[in-house]
Amino acid sequence: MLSSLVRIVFNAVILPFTMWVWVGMNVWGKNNVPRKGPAIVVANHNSHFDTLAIMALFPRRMRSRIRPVAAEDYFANGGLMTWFSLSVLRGITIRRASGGGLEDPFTKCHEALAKGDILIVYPEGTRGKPEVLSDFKKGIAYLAARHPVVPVIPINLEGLGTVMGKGHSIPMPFFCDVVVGRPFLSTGMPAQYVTELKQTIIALQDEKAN
Amino acid sequence: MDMQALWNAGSQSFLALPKTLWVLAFVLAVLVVATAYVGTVHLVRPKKDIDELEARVDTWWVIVALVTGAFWGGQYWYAAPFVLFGFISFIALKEFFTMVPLRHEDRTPMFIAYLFIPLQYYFAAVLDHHGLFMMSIIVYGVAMVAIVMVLKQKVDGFMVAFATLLTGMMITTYSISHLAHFFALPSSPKVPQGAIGLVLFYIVLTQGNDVAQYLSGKLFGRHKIVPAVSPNKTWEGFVGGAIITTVLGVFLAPILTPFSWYAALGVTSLIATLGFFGDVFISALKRDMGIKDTSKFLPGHGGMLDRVDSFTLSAPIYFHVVNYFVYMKGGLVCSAVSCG
Repeated sequence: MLSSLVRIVFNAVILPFTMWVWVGMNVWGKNNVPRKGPAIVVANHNSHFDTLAIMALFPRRMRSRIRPVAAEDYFANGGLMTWFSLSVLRGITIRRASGGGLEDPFTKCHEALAKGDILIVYPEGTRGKPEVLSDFKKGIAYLAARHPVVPVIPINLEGLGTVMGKGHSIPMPFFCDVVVGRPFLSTGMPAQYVTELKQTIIALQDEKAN
Repeated sequence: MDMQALWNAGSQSFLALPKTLWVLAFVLAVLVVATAYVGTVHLVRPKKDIDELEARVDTWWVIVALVTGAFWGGQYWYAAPFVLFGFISFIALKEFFTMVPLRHEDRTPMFIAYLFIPLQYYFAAVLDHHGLFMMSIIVYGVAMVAIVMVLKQKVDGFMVAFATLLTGMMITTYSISHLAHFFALPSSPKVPQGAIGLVLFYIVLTQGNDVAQYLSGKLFGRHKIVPAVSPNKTWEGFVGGAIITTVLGVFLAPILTPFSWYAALGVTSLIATLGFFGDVFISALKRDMGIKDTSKFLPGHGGMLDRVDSFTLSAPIYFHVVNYFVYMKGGLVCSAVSCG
């Protein structure tokens, strides 16, 4: 109840103010932002603000349908952060550690996509060093293979690690760059899929020249 | 009441409108023509790509609406013009900090630079703080940035970072806040059109000068002025633009300002020349940083700093000249302000 109320205020007022006024966004490829779900948005990851930047690209009414996919060990250990990411932002947690269980780690992702939600996936698995792209985990390839008709939208984010990176306590006003690509298609096996996806996201930077 | 009396009353009340509104009507007319042009091109040649021009015109509508609201709204909500110019400074400073290579350790002084925006505009709004408005950034800003940076104890790149931070405060906050400060000056029988007239005069001429120099350069441009900084700027563009701006200035001065025609001649050539140098000054900074636009904040224009580049050098000088020759000549500012 409280989280729904906070979500409405957050999505309608706080999020747009934070991302469009306090922080600024230079957007390329705005027409590639999906107009309806389901969809999987894939981006490089440097900051907690990455999710807010992607959410701000969507019209207000679609923001509550966006489901950031988050690591269970980091986001589901109680406290305000957990409440905010899971209840207000409607994050979906998955187990980061591999091996072990027989259960499909993406069960909740499949359910969300079936309902027409939009997933945000960071294949690097962690924010890492600012503006350094780590290798992609293969989970995204398995997830996309299970949903062949769901578009995978690649997004290149730059500058959000400077706005609010690891160890920063307040978001500093800086313009950041957001490049939205056309739906990503690959028939490769998981290892090849993620290599191509990573190359696609890197290549999106060239769009800024235009 | 017969029709003749109605007509007389109507035309009289139109003439009784403040002259500043005539200029606003002129600006709106220019925008209507531009919008009609874009619409006509869409109809006649639907394939022609004029998205950039269309975005530019649309953005101009927003700018004119906001400036109009803030200037005339200031009569009902005193803070309006200060909020508008403060917002412009904030976006410009954000663009500046985004393009320069500051270090991780410079986040705290950067935050101080941002804090000086509300502070500077508060001083700009309260006439009793005229002295603080003039010197708070130069005196207290410099000291605070220096102290915070020293405490961070990161000496690698210290001097460049220090100079960069101060430059950012000067060319975005200090400079542009002078336009807002006009709205705090006491109303004077010597300036019947008030701050709205003086600032509108400055903005219309500065932006008009940009356009006039661009057109004149396109038509006659041959000899480059500063090719290493801005290859498109020519002597023909500069001089032709300055002539057009001066004619416009001498025509607008009696409507918007208390300037005599020869004072208008001087002020207008100042605006044209300093506007040009402000423009190429920001171009030099951008070229050094290897960027074309400071952001995409204003669709079709580029960044805020790209739009207000011609203000960066001339705004404080315009304020000083007007204050010195118009207000202070009769001791007005010094009697109204405790000068502290």
